[in-house]
Amino acid sequence: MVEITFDRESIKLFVLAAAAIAVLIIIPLTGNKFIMATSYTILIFITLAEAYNILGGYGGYVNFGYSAFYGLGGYITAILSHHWRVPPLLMVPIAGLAVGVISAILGVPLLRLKGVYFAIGMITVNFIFLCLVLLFPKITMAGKGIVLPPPPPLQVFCYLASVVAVVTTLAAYKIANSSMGLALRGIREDEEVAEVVGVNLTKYKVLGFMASTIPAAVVGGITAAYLTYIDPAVMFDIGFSVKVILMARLGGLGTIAGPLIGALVIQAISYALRYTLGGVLHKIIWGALLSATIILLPGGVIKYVKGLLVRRSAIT
Amino acid sequence: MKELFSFVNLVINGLMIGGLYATMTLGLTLLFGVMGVINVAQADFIVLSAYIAYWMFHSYGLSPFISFIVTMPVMFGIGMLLEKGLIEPLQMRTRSRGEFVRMTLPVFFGVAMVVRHSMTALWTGDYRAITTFLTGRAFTFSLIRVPILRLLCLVGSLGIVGLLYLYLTKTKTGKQIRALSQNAVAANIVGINVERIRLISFAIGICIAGFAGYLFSFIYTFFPGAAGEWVPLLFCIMVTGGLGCTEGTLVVGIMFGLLDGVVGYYFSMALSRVLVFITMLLVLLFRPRGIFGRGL
Repeated sequence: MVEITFDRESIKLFVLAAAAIAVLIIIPLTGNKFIMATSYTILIFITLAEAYNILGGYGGYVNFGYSAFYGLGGYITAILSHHWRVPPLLMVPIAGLAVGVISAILGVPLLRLKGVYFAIGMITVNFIFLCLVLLFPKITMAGKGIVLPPPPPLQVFCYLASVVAVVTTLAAYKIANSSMGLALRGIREDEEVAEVVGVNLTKYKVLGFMASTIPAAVVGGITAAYLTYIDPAVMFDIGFSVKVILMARLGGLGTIAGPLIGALVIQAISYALRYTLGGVLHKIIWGALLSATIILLPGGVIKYVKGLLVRRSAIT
Repeated sequence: MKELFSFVNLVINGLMIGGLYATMTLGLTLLFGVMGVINVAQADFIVLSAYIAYWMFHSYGLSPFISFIVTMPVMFGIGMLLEKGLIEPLQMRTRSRGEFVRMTLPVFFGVAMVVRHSMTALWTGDYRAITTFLTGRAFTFSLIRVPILRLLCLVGSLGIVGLLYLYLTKTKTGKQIRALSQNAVAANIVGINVERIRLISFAIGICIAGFAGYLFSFIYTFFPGAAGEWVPLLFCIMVTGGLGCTEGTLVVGIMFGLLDGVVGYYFSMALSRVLVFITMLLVLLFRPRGIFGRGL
């Protein structure tokens, strides 16, 4: 029997979660296409940032090739659906499984690399996938891209993205508070010490890696069905990885709320820039903001606001 | 017999293009070796330099053969500004060197976006090329052709690698740069002005992009987004040659140029790139210090 306690913290959390879920259920009922499309994108990025955070935040392994797994998920979904003539959404679980296996295989050697070498290695993996897509035009249509059948209504995608986002966030929470989360944090702080204490490095790193890549593959697959068209340049875009990393970082690495907030803030900024400036100018400003936030807010928004509050309370 | 000659031509071409690859990577190698900066914007600076050469030629009639006298100082200046504006603050705000190194990547990704899209805003996305009286001309010996501009690339790259090597080993500042790359704390203790050396070495790294852009502008047509496909290749050359090893960069640049030339012709460019990337991953896993296994 699990003992349930009702302290103020958990009630607050419960109310917040209930409110969030209520919002997620109501959004598709409005039938407003703009709201639905916007929330779909935000939910997708919340999922990605939370999943990225498992290895990148708790484990400290910065994965600049994160887009590789998003793209792979999208491509596996699209190829299977294209060749078997089935709705792409049905192929998403297969893509998730396949990417899980692939990342387990890739993870064993790649996770031996440390710090910046891991980052460079993962970028290379991203480009290897990109080149493999170009190399087999009969299967992947190479640069032409794959056109998928017309998608189901937007509501379906909205609910699907909600489910994926909630499940990923809960999974991230579970992992963070399990022995695996502890092991990953140990690895982040000092790998050698963690090994001496008896953490099985390879096992936990590979598990963390899989936990962060599988949601990316699922999201990639769903997005392929959502867009009904994918091409290599969009699916294997390092800029996409950088965006997800920035979201996780801006919110605060190694927390559950951090990536959520980061995804909301960055997507909001991204939308605001795109609709007010448009075209090229928004990309220039976006690039400048990217560099500036990393330099100015190294610990993320949550840490910064907390720091401000602490300073204020210290003054008063 | 004809096949043999075409193969020889491919090898010659690959060799010369490899020289250009090496020059394009050289700045990257220096920046990473000395400062630990992963400059993903290097290729964009190269394209920017090519644009500068192009506009100097078309607006002011400056001969493209000497356009490096403009591109290199401009890039040197940009390098100094970036060091003061980005690298120094980032270094002050990051907790460890490892974190600093990793965070330079997204910072320079932002820089790359600014440069790339500013070029689009200013000069549209049209393809540009510099055409001179030497374009398309070649020295021919029976069936063997040596394109003159590509030969210039090889000579130029050998020249710049040689110059950099002499600068790093013979001059006082160069020796200080190498000292800094080996151990920043110790360099500070023995009285090297670390701040100044960092500024200079960063500016030199970007300045080399100016020279690479000068060579680049002869060989390739370019547009603002041209840098995109170069970034991974340049990183592969840098890592395979050894992080911070200039001769390694030259050798591996030429090696990958040959690979691109030969495999790209007989099979496909994509296959050649896959081979390059896999080579790099293997080097990273088994010889993380590069095939030459030593630093600057």
